[in-house]
Amino acid sequence: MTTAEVAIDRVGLKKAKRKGFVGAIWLAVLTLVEFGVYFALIHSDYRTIALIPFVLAKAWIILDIFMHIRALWGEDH
Amino acid sequence: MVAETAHAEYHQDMAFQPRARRLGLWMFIFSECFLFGAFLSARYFTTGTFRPDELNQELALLITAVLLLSSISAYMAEASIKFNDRRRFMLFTIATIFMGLIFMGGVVLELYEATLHYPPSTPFGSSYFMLIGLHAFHVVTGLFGLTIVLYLGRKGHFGSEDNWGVEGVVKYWHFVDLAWVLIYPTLYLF
Repeated sequence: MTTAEVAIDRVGLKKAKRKGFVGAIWLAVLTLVEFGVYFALIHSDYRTIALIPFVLAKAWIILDIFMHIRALWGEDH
Repeated sequence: MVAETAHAEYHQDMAFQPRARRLGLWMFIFSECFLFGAFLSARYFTTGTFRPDELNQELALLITAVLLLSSISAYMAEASIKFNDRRRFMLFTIATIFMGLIFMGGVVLELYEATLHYPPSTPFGSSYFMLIGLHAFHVVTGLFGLTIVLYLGRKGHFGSEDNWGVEGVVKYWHFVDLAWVLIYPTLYLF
């Protein structure tokens, strides 16, 4: 079964694009800062603890913005 | 008899289907988390946070950036088909597949370097090959899924009313990205 061609919802697409763009910026910034923290604390015992918040923040961005986890309890999507 | 009819109607209710499918996929993803969790904990159990000096940090950062970018293009592909922009859906899906292939190229290079400096017979090497191998397998299956939705999308399937195929594959691709967000610091940064 194929879906018939229908008009593009440009308003909805623009909104989704903006949301994806915000997620992308956050991921890029957090990845770069994470790498910077790694180099700054390369010989420190606290490196792992310092990096954990960045890992968790990136994981949550992917889960929330890209995977729409909140749709599971009906808040999104 | 009445109960059976009600049950059949319940399953024929189209409003029920996307939510049930989505929940099923999340349960699958949740079960995959245990698999990755076991492999990640094995790394810390066997070698703690030890890292060999020969790890190629630049390559790892580069392929991490490529995989994160592929997740964004996958998101855009999903959004495009959801709002009926088939042309963009095709473009973003192709871009995602292309970036996934670049990531795999980087992984092959990583594994080649790993065999020279920390082969699987070493404690770190065994964790490294297990984690990278498990993740690479998921990337390959994700690429396979993306190729299928690209083929079906090209034939006119999917649209704003029926995009579960795309949503499912893209969600899986994001999970592959999510797993890498944890694997990358585990092997390279911590």
